[in-house]
Amino acid sequence: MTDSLQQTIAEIDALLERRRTGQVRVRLKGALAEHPNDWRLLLQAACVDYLDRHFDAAMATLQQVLAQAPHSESARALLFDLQLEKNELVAAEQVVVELLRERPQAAHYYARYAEVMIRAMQLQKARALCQEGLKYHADDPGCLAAVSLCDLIERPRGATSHALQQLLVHHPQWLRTLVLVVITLHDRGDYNGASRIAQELVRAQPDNTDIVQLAAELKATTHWSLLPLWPLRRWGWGGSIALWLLGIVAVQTFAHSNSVAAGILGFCILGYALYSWVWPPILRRWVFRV
Amino acid sequence: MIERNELEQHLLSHPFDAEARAEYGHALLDANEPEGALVQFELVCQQRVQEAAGFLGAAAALLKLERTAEALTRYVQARGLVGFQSIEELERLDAQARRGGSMQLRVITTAPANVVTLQRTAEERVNFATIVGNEQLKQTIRLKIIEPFVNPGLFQRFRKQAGGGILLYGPPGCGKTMIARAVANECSAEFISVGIADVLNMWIGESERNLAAQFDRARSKAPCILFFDELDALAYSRSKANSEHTRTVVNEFLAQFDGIGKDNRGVLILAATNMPWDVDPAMKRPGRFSRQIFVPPPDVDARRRMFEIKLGGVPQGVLDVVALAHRTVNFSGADIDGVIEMAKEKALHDALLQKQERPLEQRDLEEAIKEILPSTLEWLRTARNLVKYAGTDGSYRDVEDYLKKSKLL
Amino acid sequence: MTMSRDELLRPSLGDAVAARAPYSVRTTFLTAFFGGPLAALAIIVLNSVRLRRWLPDLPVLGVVLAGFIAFVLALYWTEWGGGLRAYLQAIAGERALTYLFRLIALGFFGLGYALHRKEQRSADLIGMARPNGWIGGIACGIGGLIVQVAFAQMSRAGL
Repeated sequence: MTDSLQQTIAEIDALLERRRTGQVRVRLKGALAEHPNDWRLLLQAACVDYLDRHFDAAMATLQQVLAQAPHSESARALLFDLQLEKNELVAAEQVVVELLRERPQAAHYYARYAEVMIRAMQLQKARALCQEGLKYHADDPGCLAAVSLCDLIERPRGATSHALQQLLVHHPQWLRTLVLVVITLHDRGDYNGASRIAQELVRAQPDNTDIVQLAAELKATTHWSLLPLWPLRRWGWGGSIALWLLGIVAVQTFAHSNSVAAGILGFCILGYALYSWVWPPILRRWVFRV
Repeated sequence: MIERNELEQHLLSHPFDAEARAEYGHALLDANEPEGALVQFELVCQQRVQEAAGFLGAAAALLKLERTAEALTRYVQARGLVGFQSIEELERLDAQARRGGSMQLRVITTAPANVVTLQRTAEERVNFATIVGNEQLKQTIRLKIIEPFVNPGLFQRFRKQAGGGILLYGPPGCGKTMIARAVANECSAEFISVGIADVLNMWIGESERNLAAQFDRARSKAPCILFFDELDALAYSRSKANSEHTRTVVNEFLAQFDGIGKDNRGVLILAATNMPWDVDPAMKRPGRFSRQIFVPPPDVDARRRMFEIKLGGVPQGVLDVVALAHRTVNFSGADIDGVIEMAKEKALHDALLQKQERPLEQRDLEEAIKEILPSTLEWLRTARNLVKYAGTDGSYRDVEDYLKKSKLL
Repeated sequence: MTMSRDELLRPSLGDAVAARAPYSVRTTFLTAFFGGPLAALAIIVLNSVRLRRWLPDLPVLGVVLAGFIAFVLALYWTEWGGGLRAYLQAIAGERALTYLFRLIALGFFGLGYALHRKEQRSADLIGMARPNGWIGGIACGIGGLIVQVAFAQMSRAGL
């Protein structure tokens, strides 16, 4: 490989890291015109398609890369990412297992494998994989994030996660850490705290629709007009059932002595139930649009 | 003294409690975990910009990690902030740096730098007169950038020094780079423009050397304007960066900005970016690019003048450029070029079909306007997300005002 | 649970069909609330099938269904049941049995929630696309209603 090609590849890598996909495409056009079959450039082309979410185009280009360089670790890692995006879990598992057999001490690959297991709802194996990864790299962010996610799934809402605490120590500004903290605070009923961190996320990635939507939903959740829903938010579905039972008991009690009061009470309860179902989605749409 | 475990629990629920975080940083230092401590203190620096605690803690952690130059940077930043307390070892190192000694403190190694030829400004003389419209923006820039540079005496009496950093941000194609060149010509200063290709190099250490060389060159040519285009690419947020190389380039940038052992007086550092949210937050702290100026899409006067200038010499019928200007809200200069090119294509196409030349007409331009979507819209939508959902720290107030005026908010 | 490296690196998805996202908790709740106990059980079974865990769930759901049938038979065809009905109607009026069955349905919802809590949470956190709740809920509701009506007819006919 010539020096100038190497320099071009390094520059494109730097641009890819900064997600400047427009500039990457321009540079690649020129570079591929000179070296149309260079698999490294083709791999970069597949990467830029992946970043722009053109997964089919990325996969097609990647197949060309793998035909030339079937053992390229970067190419196979991208293949794994694409398969995960397309929810092809079986294929993704095979790729990551192969990578782990070649690099048994690569903690980040254990983390990626754990992601596959979490999606397939095999949480025990996901945890075991992360434990193995953390043996080699004690604060690997991917493994810690996967374990935090398992904790969020399996433990009671709002329970402390040691893995998340470790993420806050070693990677406090990593975006996934912040997302996990938002979820934890939301589970604990600290909607204002969750909303503040969501604002930080938007400051870092205002062009990320998922993050913007999360921030908008939390903004809606902390709106003053939802304050009366506190009992339902605090106790979830149990609170809804308790409210229904309470309503029946209250109406029945009043029905014997004062049927008008019973009627009014019944309407109030029905009104509250309707408000709890109808108003939050309307408010969310309004916050997101306005 | 609260137990470390209790602090971790507390921070999970109260991530914005800077005092608890600083205490936690000290606990990690005591437990001989300087890397973890540094991460915590950097956060405190962000949360309490005017207080010395975070900077002093970070300096102590960096000292333990034997990153002396960076430790000194932090220590110097802490001076003048609330709660500053001297640290003996760092005082000694600071004194040494001021005397210019100790090779260990020099950010640039003595290996010869592979300096990339710097690009000078275009020969074309761009000044404010050649920039059409945007009078309010020009006034802001004159007051905040040009006058302090040209009349340092006046501003010194009010204890404002010339130099420092200013960041121009806004949608692509709205003239940020041209404004930077105009500023240089208005200031009659040397102008050094640096792009990403001028700095980034595949060899380890070369990017940092290139960057240091640009700053040295600017200092030697003071008064000088050092302009960094696409700052988000050079000073990419370290929390988003995957590679250590990107982080070291940012660290070098910060060190050069702070001018440890160097004198940055007389060097005005300008930068432009389309993505201010991708710029490392440390770059926007006091003493660096603390002044940020929003460069909006051209206003109606600017658009009218653009149409007049760009249509000059083109065979045309009676054109109502005022109407065209009013119909092209949020169009950038490049978009207006696109409109005119498309209109010309229509006229030429008709001429070829009918075998008879005809001039450019109003309808050609109006049809072209219908077909072209302003390229600034995507940026403005992203900026709207920031304004709506990113809290109210006031850093994008200009953008908010613009969005409200344009009825996009 | 500790696994050896070989076990960890043995593919566990293989040819097995992957679990699919279950109907949401909201759909299950509404189906139970408006559809009744049988509709609630039906949607829980549907979720078990979607999650590929109907075999482990079968004993629990089987026992619950059997218990429910036994309770209904006892309620309508035994003296004890007659007494209970009269007592409830005295307290809560004509709609007492409606409330009772709704309460049982919500109990079944709680059972379903407990059985599939982790999977529901996982689907929420990962952002899995949920099946259309209207179709599933209405289908289970109609199915439950048909069985209820059939049973009521049989009961009136004295069978």
